[in-house]
Amino acid sequence: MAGGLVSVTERSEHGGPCLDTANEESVAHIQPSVGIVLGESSVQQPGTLYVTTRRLVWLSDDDLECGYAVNFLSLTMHAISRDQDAYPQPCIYTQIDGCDDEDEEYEENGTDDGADDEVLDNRGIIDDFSRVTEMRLIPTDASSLDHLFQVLCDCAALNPDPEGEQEGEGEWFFDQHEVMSNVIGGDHANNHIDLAELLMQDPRFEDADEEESEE
Amino acid sequence: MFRFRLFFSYFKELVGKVVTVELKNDLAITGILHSVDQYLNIKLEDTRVVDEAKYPHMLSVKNCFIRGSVVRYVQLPPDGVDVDILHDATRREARGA
Repeated sequence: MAGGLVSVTERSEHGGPCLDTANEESVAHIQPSVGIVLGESSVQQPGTLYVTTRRLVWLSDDDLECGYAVNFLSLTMHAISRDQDAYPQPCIYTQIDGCDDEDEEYEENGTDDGADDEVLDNRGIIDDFSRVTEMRLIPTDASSLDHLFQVLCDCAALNPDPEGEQEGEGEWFFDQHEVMSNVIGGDHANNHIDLAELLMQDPRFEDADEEESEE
Repeated sequence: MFRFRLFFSYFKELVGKVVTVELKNDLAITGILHSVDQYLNIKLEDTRVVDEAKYPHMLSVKNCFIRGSVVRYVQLPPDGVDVDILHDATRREARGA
């Protein structure tokens, strides 16, 4: 899968992230003066946040070889945090999952305090970014949080899982009323008869060893 | 995935109600359902985390966006579900899938 948080050491000639244009990556939003907190580590700042159509990228303003990126496929949630008990400054709180859905590794990594404890070495420095599960982005301009949150929503929506929970994009939706009143692909006049036939003949309704639908 | 379309149309009916979303990493988040999109990405408002022992730093957040692919299930409010309608809709959608 997308692999979680990664270190970014290279930049484009313009100082921004190197974009994967083959994958249609483009910059959607740039937020200057942003601090970043990875897991339990202390805040790193100042930096610039680049929200692209594929990733979140934070690049340090001071250290040109220091940066981090996470693909939206790995960003399981993001939120506006204004709870000072959680973190003193208003910020974007995110969770990162670099593992496959089926992978139990995530739970194996975790202690009761969260996986982040194992990520820090004895100097308190992160040595395995892919195991960072929580990240905060702290803009100096707190009024930008609402817009930043929305940009993240929009770009996350651009990155559904490639396997797809559905067969193809663009097939859609049924309002509850449509579901109730339409028989999709069936004969309106013979609702009940069709249903009985369907139940008897449709292999999906067989017992036991039918395959579960993909999920 | 016929369940997808059904859930989407059903979730639209639940906007404004309190739901609890459990993620595949066991995190449970309770909040007011703000919106849901075609990928079942979920936006919640006024969220609080149900398991504060596991994720103490998250505590309460105002707006929250949850990626649809990591949702394990969504706990619906008891009065928000008409089971008969859901049964009928599931049967009909199964026929058409």
